[in-house]
Amino acid sequence: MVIALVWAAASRFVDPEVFPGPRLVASALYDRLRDGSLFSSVALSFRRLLLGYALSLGVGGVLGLLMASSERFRQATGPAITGLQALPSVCWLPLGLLWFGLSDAAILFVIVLGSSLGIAIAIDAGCRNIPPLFVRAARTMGARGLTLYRRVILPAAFPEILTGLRLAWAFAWRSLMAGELLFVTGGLGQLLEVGRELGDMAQVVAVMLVIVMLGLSTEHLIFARLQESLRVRWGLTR
Amino acid sequence: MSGPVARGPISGASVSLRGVRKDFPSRGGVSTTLEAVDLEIKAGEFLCLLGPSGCGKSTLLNLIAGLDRPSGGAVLVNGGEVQGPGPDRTVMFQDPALYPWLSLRQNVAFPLELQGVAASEIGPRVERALRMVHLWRFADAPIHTLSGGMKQRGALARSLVSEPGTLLMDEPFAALDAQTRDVLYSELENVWLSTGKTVIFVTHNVREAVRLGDRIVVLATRPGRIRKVIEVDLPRPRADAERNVSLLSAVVMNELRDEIARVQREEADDAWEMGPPGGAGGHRFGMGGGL
Repeated sequence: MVIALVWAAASRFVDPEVFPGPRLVASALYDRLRDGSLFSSVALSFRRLLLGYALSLGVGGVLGLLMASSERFRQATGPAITGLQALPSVCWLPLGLLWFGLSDAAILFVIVLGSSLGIAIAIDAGCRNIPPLFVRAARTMGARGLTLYRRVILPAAFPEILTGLRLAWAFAWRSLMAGELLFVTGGLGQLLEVGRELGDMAQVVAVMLVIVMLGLSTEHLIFARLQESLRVRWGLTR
Repeated sequence: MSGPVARGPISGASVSLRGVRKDFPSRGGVSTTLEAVDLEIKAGEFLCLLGPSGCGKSTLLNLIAGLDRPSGGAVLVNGGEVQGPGPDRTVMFQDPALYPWLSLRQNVAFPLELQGVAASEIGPRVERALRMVHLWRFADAPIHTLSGGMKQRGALARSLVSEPGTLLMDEPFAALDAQTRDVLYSELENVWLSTGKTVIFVTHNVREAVRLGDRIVVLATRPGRIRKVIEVDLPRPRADAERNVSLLSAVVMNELRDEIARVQREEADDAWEMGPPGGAGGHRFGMGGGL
């Protein structure tokens, strides 16, 4: 509310072409809703996001488990993975476009490279930070191998892994936007780019608002709830 | 607490240690933590392993549990050599190690699920184990809502549910307050009396060893070896025999005094001044706590 008021007040003193007020943005949002382009863009972006995130979970999950369970694998891949983490995922886009052309596959490629490594690192770190006694106790009860991971190590590491999943979701979202904005057709990123090409500042701000809202709602509806229920279950609430 | 419990039939396993040695790698070579330990533990016996820190009593327990392999000699349970951890030898640690993502009931069911016990059989067995430690009412409680003593009783239920022949306990009550500990002594004694299991109980607390054990094996340090075996010939249950427990504790304490002093000399800096034997030093290791 406060932000909206300040925004409305400030926009009175500036050229609306450069800095559109809330009324202009709201009407741009309404137009995009009415012609259906907003909805179809959100749907397309979300489909890419979910698919890319699911792939990242698979790739990151396997990588992370291998790192956690094999010291040799971790030492062999550790530097490469940290190095790749330092590379912003959008830098992979040219390579993705060369390999996969102007297609969804290129975007998925960028998303997976942007978020799977974070998942792998979170799983590896989470599994290594659990109390050693949890594992010793499980071994005396006869757990070993995959069962040990599935029933004890991963559940014990889950709070830390969840933080990684949350960050990876944000990374996936960013990679997607960067990709759509730069090259790939359709989606929210392109709607943003169209607004820029037309010099329609109101549309640009409207789409940015939608992106923020989507980010906030997934955060609150999914991750924050999961994390809170976990904290209650483990007795970590104050 | 419930009244005296009748001694049930013996269901425990016998445990033999034959010339057991354990070396660990250390700075510039190997250090021997245990040396030539020979010990016969009868089926259904309550045996306490007593000694100051660093005497290898936990190492010995790990060898029997199968969490570790001896460097020499053999560990036999019911005549067969220990190859690894198994549901016939369950372990309780100083920390209850109940899993916070499971309820108490699920924690107790956990070892049975690992063993592939039929689902229809798990429910009743979990109930029986939880009733035995008087926690049935709290079966569905999240772990973090239980007190320290309740958690440790939960861990005892989880150890009992697989119906092991041998119960291995590594200072399970050391982190509890004195009152809770007294209650748990009685509960453990009753469980042991009624089930007839073999219990091997590691402690550094003399009074605890006298309160619970049929026999006390006193270990010496560096390298760890058996120094003395003491029969505890006090009637059971011993909850009412506090005076006798105290008297015998003083006797055992005397046995240990110079061993503690020796550990202290080795652990302390050169400049550190020794107190009177068994005085402040005794406290430092928690020896004779509660005397």
